[in-house]
Amino acid sequence: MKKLIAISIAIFLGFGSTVSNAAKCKWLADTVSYSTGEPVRWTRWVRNRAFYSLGKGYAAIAGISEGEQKYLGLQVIAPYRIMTTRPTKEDLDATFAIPAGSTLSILMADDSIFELVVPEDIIGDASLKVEEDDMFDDSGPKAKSGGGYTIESYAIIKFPLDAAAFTSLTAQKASDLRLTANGVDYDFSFGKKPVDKIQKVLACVA
Amino acid sequence: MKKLFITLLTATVFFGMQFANAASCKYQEQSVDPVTNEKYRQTAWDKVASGYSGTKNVGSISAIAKGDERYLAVKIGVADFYPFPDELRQEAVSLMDEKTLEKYEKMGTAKRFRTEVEHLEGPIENQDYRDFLDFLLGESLLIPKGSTLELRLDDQSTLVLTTEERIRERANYTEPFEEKKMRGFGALMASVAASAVGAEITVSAEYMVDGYMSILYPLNAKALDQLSRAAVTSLRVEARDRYYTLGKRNSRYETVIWSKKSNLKIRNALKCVE
Repeated sequence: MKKLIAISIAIFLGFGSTVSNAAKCKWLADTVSYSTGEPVRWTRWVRNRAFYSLGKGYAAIAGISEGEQKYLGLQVIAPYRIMTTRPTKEDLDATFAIPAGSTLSILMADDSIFELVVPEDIIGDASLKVEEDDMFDDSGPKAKSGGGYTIESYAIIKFPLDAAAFTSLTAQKASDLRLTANGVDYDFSFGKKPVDKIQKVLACVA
Repeated sequence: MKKLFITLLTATVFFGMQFANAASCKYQEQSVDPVTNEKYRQTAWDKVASGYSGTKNVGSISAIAKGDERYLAVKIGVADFYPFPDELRQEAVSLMDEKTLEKYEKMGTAKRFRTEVEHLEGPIENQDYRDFLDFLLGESLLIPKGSTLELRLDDQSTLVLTTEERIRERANYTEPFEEKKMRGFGALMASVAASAVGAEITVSAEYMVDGYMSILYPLNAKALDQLSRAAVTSLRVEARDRYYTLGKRNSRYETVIWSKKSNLKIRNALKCVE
């Protein structure tokens, strides 16, 4: 009887830990690249409530691995931009453009700053927002409510990590991020205390 | 008896499967290319985004086989908004006599607009006004040659296709402050929603242009191979001065378009023209 209980507990604990490990990593993509055939893993985007830069939107992070290469993913979601004149395609492309060489500074728990560099020009995805009360039939929305044009935009940046960078970022917690692009600082904070969010998403793709 | 039963069962399952396979591929009536006179096969349009799910535009996809060539066709129902040009407004004001002008200055926005248009229409229609309306009807829904279609795949990559021809579709327009005439289920839903919140149905202060655009994107071997295996999570059509996205952002900061089943609609359509 004692043996049976011990086995049951062992199975329960084993199953429980498997479930909790699986639950730790949630995937946006866990598949194989259609072009290269290499495994591709993206964790789901993770955001902290305080992860908001006043007037400059908010951000989320993800751990990414494509083949052997690891990345820290940063998604910056800009606040709605309202234009009174009709935006052109150039307006949309310029809404959230991040040039190569822009930097991401990460404030680590030991007060050191770890810097990553945007590897290529990024043109954020921008689209015109249709108001919620617009109704569609087969010929499109009925009408645009209110004046002006609302633009929604976001940009996804993949920061490549070499082995040393990966080790540094997983070695300790972090509290703040600053993306510097086009002379503008986008500051995002995880809160007052350093947290292990970056460590966790990178651990999933280790 | 048992043998007969098994035979019947096998036959039913076999024919059932054949029927199910046939039913999964629906085709439009055989089409003929007006230029080459070549017959081609096209799958039935399959709706991938509709307004009721909160997406921005309505859209359907279809796969085409013309000889050895394969195409992805995208049909989008779009709406766009154009303000009444200031130059036309000034031109209209210059045509008003003093008495009308005095009344005009005391009018609300909608009435002002009607007065401006009446003066531009006049006994002889103003040419600039005619040109503006011609632009809305004939040039507003335009996709230049070389415009792109960005398909986001579920491996988080983006596949870019390019159109080989200029697409120009005739649009409908609704004047500012005019209630758009809606048809069918859309009209019913709009009136139900408006009455539920006790709201008036809003109208636009701008010209609303709407219509459909059907765009053909040729597929090279690599694109065909990828799309025959991939799940597509969203589409972005590049037009003359806009992008039309078939997809929406969810609360997890992902751009998604359809259900998991619908993500495979392009893949399934291409399989039907293999």
